[in-house]
Amino acid sequence: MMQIERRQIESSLCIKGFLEDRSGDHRYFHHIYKGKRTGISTKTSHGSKDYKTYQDELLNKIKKHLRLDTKEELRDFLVCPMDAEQYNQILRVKGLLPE
Amino acid sequence: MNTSSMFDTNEEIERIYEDILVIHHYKPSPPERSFLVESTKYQPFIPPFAPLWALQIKGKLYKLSLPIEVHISKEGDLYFAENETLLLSGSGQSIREAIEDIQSDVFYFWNYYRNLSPDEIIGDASRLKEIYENLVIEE
Repeated sequence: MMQIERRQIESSLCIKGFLEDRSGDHRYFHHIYKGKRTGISTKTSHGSKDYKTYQDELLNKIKKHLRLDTKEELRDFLVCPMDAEQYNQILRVKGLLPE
Repeated sequence: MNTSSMFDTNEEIERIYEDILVIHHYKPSPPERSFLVESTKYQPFIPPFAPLWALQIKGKLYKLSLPIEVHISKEGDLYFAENETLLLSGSGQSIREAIEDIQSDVFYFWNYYRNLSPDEIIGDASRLKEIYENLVIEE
């Protein structure tokens, strides 16, 4: 079972090319590539639901939002080795970003 | 989906049934409701897909030009309401909460995309903008 602190998730997203938008009980994160919005977005919950530690169920949803295929890719993205350019390369290979 | 092991008590079945009615914006008469809840106890049913016809946001109802197909599931202690086309997932302690969560996401992204100009977007954002722009009927 994978567990990652919400704060760590939010920090990684901001470091790796996502722009944060605080809106009500959620924080939305939008991926930016060459100054443009790519349509890849995810969110973390604040407020009443307040999940401070994300476990498998919620992490799987974030994986899907980020268009990643495996838990390993998600862990690499959220817990460090993967940088913004490596993430963009994954998206380019999938045809989600232009070359 | 294995429904036989999903629900522990009649109360939970009744609560889930109430949530399903909320999804459909449907208010049955009291005798009709009793019959439906009673029959649900003997054959627990949670629809794998439910259409979302409108958004209820802060007491205001926003109609949708097309129904959004919402996939409902339970993982661990959480219920999820998801749409594959829009890549959205709402979550909560009940189906109702999960549906409310995905409704607020749809509403958020509707506002998000309609405020973006074509030269601000790239890749899949173009597809999503086109969907969202005609999704909500403002009254």
